[in-house]
Amino acid sequence: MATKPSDLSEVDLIQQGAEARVYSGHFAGEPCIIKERFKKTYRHPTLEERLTQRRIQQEAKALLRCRKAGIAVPSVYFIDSTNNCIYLEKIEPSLTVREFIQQLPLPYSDEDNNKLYAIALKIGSVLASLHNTDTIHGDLTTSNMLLKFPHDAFELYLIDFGLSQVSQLHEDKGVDLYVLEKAFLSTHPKTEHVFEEILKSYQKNNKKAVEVLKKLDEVRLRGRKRVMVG
Amino acid sequence: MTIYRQSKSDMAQEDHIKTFPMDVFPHSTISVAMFKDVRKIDELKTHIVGGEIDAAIVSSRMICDLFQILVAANKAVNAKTTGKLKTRNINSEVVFCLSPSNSITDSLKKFGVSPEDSAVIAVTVDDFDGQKMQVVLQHINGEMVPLEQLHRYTDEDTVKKVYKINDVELQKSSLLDSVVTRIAVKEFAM
Repeated sequence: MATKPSDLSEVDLIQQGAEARVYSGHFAGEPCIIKERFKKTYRHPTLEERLTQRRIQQEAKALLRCRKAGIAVPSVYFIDSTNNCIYLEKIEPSLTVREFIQQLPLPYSDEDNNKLYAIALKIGSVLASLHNTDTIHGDLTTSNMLLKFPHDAFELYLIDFGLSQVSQLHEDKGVDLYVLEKAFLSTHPKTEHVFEEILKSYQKNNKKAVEVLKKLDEVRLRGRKRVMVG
Repeated sequence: MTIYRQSKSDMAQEDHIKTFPMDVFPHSTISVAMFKDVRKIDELKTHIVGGEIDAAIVSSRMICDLFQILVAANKAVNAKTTGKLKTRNINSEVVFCLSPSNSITDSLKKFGVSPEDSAVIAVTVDDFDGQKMQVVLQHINGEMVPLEQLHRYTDEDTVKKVYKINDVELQKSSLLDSVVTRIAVKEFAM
């Protein structure tokens, strides 16, 4: 049986979340990230098993689908279904978009604003390609986007596809953007102008942008959950 | 059959056999050796089928990096330790794991050796005393070369075709990254 990540030699726990633990380690000589979905004891064991397996499958599927569409995502090295772990390429040197924005002092200088616009442009076009392939990320936040340096020619990686799904519905794409908007504006105060830029870039690069943005407006009024009347 | 000669040059050749520990399976090791100018592939195949050779023998055309082999071998060891081998033994499982296809016959045909091959790669699992690789050396009629030369024998067009990797994908990904991802996610996403 494969070794549990916590028992591997030379691994570091780098994040403990509600759904998963994230470790930094090595796989066959390559630096890697290990994501372990741990068991929730409050769930029924059968349901637990199914949910965990499905999340791993969704993540694997989305990573392959995005890669095929030319979207920058980590490579997969190993899926350990015994311990519910997924071993991924470690993107380095990198910074999350969240870390990047938070290190800029407020109020933003013109120079900082230009950096933010460049990143917004990239985020918009990556999300447009993502939705062009009918992949819904499901948990878009600035922590789930990595900037890989060198800085001037940075690449934007999307990570954490555990809640992703395939859907053609404008509604689902609109909700995906809404989730990001919420996360973006609450994590980064005074960045409305940056988020505007993301949507503009999305509009330029997505085939169905008009319909999706219309849905986004609807979702903003009512919230993420659909009104079920009649 | 080739006569096993313990000459000086053969001793030097053995330096080209590389053994790798496995992070996830600390009790297992993978050994890899590469051979060029291999002749009498048909005879070699008889020894593989006959079971004298306890190793996976892979066509080097389909391999773009050593890492590709290690990813597949890790997957094969995982299948073995969880009792989920899909093929006859660990050696055929290594070959099967390299392939993006779920068809065993198709995988063994594309990734195993064929008479058109002149360069082949031998992979042994848990060859702690090196005996398995010694048997391979006895049966392979070719010259062992350093693994660093592996890239010279890769047929990139065939790799792209077999793994179905197009140019859009390669704008953001190396060929190797695309290949190992497909190997890793095979039964989950393909």
